Amino acid sequence: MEPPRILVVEDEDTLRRAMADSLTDEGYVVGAFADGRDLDAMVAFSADLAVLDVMVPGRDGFQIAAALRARRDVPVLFVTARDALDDRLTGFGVGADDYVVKPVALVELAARARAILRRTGHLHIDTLTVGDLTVHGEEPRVVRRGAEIDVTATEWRLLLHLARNRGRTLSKTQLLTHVWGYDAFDPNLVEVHISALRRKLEAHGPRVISTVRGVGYRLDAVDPDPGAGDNGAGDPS
Amino acid sequence: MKAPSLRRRVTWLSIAVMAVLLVALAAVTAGLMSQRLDQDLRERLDARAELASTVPMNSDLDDLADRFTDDTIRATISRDGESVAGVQEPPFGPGGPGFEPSLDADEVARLTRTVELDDGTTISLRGNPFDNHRVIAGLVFVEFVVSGVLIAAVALTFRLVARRALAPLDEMAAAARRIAAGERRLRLRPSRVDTDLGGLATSFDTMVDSLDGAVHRAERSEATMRQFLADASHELRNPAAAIGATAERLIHGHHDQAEREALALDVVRESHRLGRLVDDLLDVARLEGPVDREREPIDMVALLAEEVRRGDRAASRVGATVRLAATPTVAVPPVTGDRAALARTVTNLLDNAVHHAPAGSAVEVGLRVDGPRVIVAISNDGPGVPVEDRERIFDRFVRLDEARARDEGGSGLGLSISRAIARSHGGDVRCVDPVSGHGATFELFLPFVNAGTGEGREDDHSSDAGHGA
Repeated sequence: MEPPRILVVEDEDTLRRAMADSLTDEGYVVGAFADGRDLDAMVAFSADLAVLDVMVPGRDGFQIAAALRARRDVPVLFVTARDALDDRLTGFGVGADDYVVKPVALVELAARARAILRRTGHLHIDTLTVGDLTVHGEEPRVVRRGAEIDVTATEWRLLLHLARNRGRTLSKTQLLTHVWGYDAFDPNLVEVHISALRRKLEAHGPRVISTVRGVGYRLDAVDPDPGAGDNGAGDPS
Repeated sequence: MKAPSLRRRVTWLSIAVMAVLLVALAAVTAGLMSQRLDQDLRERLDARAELASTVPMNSDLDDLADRFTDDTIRATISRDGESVAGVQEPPFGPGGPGFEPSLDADEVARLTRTVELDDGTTISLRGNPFDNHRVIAGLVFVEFVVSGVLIAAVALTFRLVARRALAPLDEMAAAARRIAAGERRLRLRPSRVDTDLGGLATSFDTMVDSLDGAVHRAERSEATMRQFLADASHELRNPAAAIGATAERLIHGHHDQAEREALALDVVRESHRLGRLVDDLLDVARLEGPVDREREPIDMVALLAEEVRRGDRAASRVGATVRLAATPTVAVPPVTGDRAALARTVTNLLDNAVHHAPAGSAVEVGLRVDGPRVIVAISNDGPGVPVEDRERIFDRFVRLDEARARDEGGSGLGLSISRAIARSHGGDVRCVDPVSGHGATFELFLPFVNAGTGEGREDDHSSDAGHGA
């Protein structure tokens, strides 16, 4: 399936770059614009979601939204520094699907974008399969070698983030801020939850989360080899 | 209302005063009347006693007694202590026979005349005071009835008159209540202003006018402040959002060293921009408040020379120059004001001119004396400001689209601050027709004699000055 396409219109260069990079990292195809002038190019991008700043030169976000929706029904997420009630009402009046006020964390922006895309049917969050491990994308379900593993919601989010970045080392800070947010938490939280996850996962197979000393943790694919584990005998596959 | 109304109090007071006066009148008339009647009775007694002393000896005693007796005087004739004719004691009484009202001995003596005839017959004449008493009582009764009617009539009249006379007060009270309830346009507008209440109503209207004006001004300034806060938060949120998002990318992105440095640089730049914005916002807040400035004589020629040197150094970084054009040949009197603030104004205008100046061009700074003021003109060779935008650019946070699109990092407050400072010195800053026909020219006017710190700006120069800050 084609990755969803997201249109970003934001006149602040730094912010636009960060938003575009972040959404690209999340696996979307991003088209970024600095102002509202080139409407034809925006339409041609045929986005599945438009993330629009309201105060942009040329044509404001409300006008862009109206113009885009006049041609094709596209969900709109406003990201704006204007938070007066009137502005919000105008936003929803032109058919906004969501409205967030700056400053907004990129992880929150990504979560909202994902929610809209899922709601509008543009995003089917597949279960992620990493070797013998299957992490469900929408609810805290983890299956390893056919065995349902009982994980907490936090452990599932942690594992999901590792699974999305499989084979790549994530630092404690990266995991902490992604799962727990940016307000100060104890980095030991990550260690505690990683060891709990390991205990549960390793009951059904060899170690999948490895420690990269001095850097962080990494999830690696392990071949679903029923013979390799002790409890592989009862595997129906 | 708990306290009795003015109307009621006035009515009661007048009734009380009138009642007292009427009672006094009744007392006086009764007294005088009583005295008069009493005297009259005694004069008649005396006259009859004189007559009695002349009666013939052998008169018929009963006939005699009859002759001397009438409604008010009764005669008793006695001989050797024996009553022989006339009315027997008790001679008078208000009630039926046998009832002797208490007349004291003095009264009896005053109203008794005894005439002794030579034959030993004694004619005793007694005056009857009770008729007089009845007359007086009747008089008093009539007086009370008349007084009562009078008082009632006066009270009624007073009430009607007071109601009419004081009706404007009720109107005023009703109007005050309606105004308080929100009908702020309502006024009394009395038809006559020469009466007491008309004068009061006029004063009332004047007071409401002035309160309404104050409320209106407060509301307008509150609306301005709300707009300013909305704009300010908008302006603050953008760099804040950029800093937050870029830092997030530093944590979560997968970057090499060069990319990480570029992101870190973004954070530094945006936080500097945020800092400048906060400084400018604080300046605006300070300028909004009561201005308590240092006041000293300032040599504008020297200040300008210094600023041009500083501005030229800054401009050289973007490949432009700043140069001081013609200075007046005559001595320029000093202006009075806050040196730092005026320097800030010139700095802002210079920075603005340099910002929009094409690379390699020169920003010209000129100074001239025009009557009672000094004019500093700063011109560049940039894209210029369209005539229709020349006032708007002094509004807060206004950056023309062209400038916004290039994201030049200005706060959008510089011109607004410059103008506010100039105006607090009795001068102004304006964007005027460019000297050379192209580019942009800003002029700073400052009066030599600065009378006050108010909004005493001069409106005699160009046509487009009528724009409030």
